[in-house]
Amino acid sequence: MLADIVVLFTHNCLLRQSASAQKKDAQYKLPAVNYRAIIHRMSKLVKITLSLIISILLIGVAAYFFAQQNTNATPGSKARLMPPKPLTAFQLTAHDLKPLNIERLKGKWTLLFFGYTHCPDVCPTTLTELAQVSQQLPPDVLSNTQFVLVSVDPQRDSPKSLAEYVSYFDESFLAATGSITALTAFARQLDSKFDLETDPVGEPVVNHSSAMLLIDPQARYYARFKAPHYAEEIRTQYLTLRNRYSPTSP
Amino acid sequence: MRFAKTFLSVFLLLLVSSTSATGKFEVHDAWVREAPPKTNVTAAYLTLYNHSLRVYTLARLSSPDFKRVEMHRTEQHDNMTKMLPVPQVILNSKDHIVFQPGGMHLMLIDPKKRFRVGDNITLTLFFTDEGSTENSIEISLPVKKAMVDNSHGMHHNQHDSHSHQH
Repeated sequence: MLADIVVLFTHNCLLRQSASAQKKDAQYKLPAVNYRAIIHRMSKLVKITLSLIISILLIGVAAYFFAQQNTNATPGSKARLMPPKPLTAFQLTAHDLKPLNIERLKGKWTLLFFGYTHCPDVCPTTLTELAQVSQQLPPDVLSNTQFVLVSVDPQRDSPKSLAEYVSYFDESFLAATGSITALTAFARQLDSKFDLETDPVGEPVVNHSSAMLLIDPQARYYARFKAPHYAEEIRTQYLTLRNRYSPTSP
Repeated sequence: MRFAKTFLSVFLLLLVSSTSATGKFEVHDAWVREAPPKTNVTAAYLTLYNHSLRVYTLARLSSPDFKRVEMHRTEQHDNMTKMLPVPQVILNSKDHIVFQPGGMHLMLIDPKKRFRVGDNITLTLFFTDEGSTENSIEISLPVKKAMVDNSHGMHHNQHDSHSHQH
């Protein structure tokens, strides 16, 4: 293919040279360039080459756009990080009062997102979708998958209250929180952030990153799924990424 | 004959525009998300129709079952989720507005008790028209557990929600 292109390119150059040579000739004889005459004078080979170049260009452009569309259609292809980013040490407190740290992420796939319990709309919606994902995963996949809500509102969300909160959606769900410093550092590792404000009535307002993060069994930040989150999409993307996963290659 | 036609249309127009609060508004797909434990907030969702020829502004809501009711909008962009207060909503003539998960919603704050699936919550919506006259409707919303529907973004529970108006 490459050789073909080189050949065609050379042909193209030669063609241009001959065309410009002809052009020069034409300029001496006639004030206006007669392109029709030039084309007429071209050899059959040159005509075929020219057609080939144009065809290849057109097909190339079409293929490019097709490939672009295909990328969009392939689940997970855009979500994956290349290469995965190993997480560094962090410590949060989980709903069971045990630490949530690197060790707890190892050996399992983790789907994690940031939120808080005093969130009336999007957090319970996401947790409902995740509960659906959990119900629909094949048992062998589910057995090494964990779902984690990280609360960025530690003032109002204690590990104990988080335990009651997440188990309402699914008994197996994990939740964790920590100091603002620990949470900020952990969020940064996952390209996420949050900020805490106060509304005019004095109620805290929590803004947080909306992406769902996927961490692989080697505790590497592996993929991110953009909001809004739908069970079906999360499940498909997750399964696709898992199927292509090889622990040794990046 | 021509006069009769004109008269009839003017009469009908007047009739429609002078209808009392009842019938002006219609509420569909109304439900309240059952609050998970350990939270004092939840959300109500509904579709609100304005059948009248007037433009109304929805700016105030109240409930005997909650301390406060506010309108909010969840906004997700640049990988940030924000909840923005919506001070008022314009409800155009013959138009409707949708409060739904992940979008505009009614935030119910500080319940009088923990409401569970099967309970109903009363909500009063206060509207003002161009002449600043206040109208209100009272609706009753069933408490439900959110369910995942496989069609994107359609999480509301259809067919079995109800409303009544005063």
